[in-house]
Amino acid sequence: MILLREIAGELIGMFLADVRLTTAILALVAIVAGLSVAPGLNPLIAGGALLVGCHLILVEAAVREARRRRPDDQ
Amino acid sequence: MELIPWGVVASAVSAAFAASLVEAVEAFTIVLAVATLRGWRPAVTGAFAALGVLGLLVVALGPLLGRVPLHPLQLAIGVLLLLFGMGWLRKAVLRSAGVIPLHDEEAAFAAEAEHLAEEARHRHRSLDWIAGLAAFKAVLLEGLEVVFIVIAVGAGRGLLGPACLGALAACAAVLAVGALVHRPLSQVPENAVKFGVGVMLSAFGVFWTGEGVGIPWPGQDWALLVFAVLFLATGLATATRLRRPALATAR
Repeated sequence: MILLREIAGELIGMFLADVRLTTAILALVAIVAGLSVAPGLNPLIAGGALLVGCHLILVEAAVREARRRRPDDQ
Repeated sequence: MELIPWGVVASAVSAAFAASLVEAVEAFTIVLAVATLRGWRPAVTGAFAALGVLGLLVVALGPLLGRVPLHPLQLAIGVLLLLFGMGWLRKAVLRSAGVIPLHDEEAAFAAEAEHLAEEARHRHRSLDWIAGLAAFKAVLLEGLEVVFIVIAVGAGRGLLGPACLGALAACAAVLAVGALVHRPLSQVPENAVKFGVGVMLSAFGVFWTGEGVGIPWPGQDWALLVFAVLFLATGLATATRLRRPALATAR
């Protein structure tokens, strides 16, 4: 039972290590999915939004964690 | 039959190889600690039992994936890769910047040895079983990540075979070197490898997610390599920015 709990914890931890990062990625994918089917909009704009959004989310997540661990950086 | 560019095949194989290398090194440390304290029998039994469970998982999941339509499969795998890959990349950036400590195999070995010695003091019976279970758990938990990565980088383009070979080659390399040196493989530049894997998984994540929602990437499969270069540049730039010790004093 403990082993199953640890396996479940490992699986959850694989995808939900940082809740804000996870939420931001899912929200971005939802927006991109909406943009990709928007009438009259080039799908590449949705692709660009996905690519740029992922980079912004990554930088924000790293900077936020660094500031949380090193409050002097603020 | 669609011809897959060599760059995409190489990306899938190298991502599977590098990710498996890191996970195999971590699992080997625990198995070695078990073997050092209780002998190779419980260590090898636990490790092989876990490999059997992982093998069953792959055999069970493989045919199921073949029945899922391509676009929903790419979208699901792409999103999971983004969650997993960007999580790895974020952690590698923070470790590279010195914000969080590097993973230390010697410390992990000592901690596992201490844990088993503690168990030995309190429970004199079935200690081999506890040691075997520790090896089983380590290989299973690290192996789950390997299975996910192999399926994720391989399933979207029919590259499961090459990705599996990449993962197996990494495991074989760790076993061979580990058997030779007979100590934790602390010389492996784990964070650099994790950085690279995070970059590749994030690039695959953007690529599959885009394909899943119907985005026609310019350059088709070659776009994957461009994404990887961009993630690498962003990751390195962020790590460099966070590494600056004068950040606080400059303000």
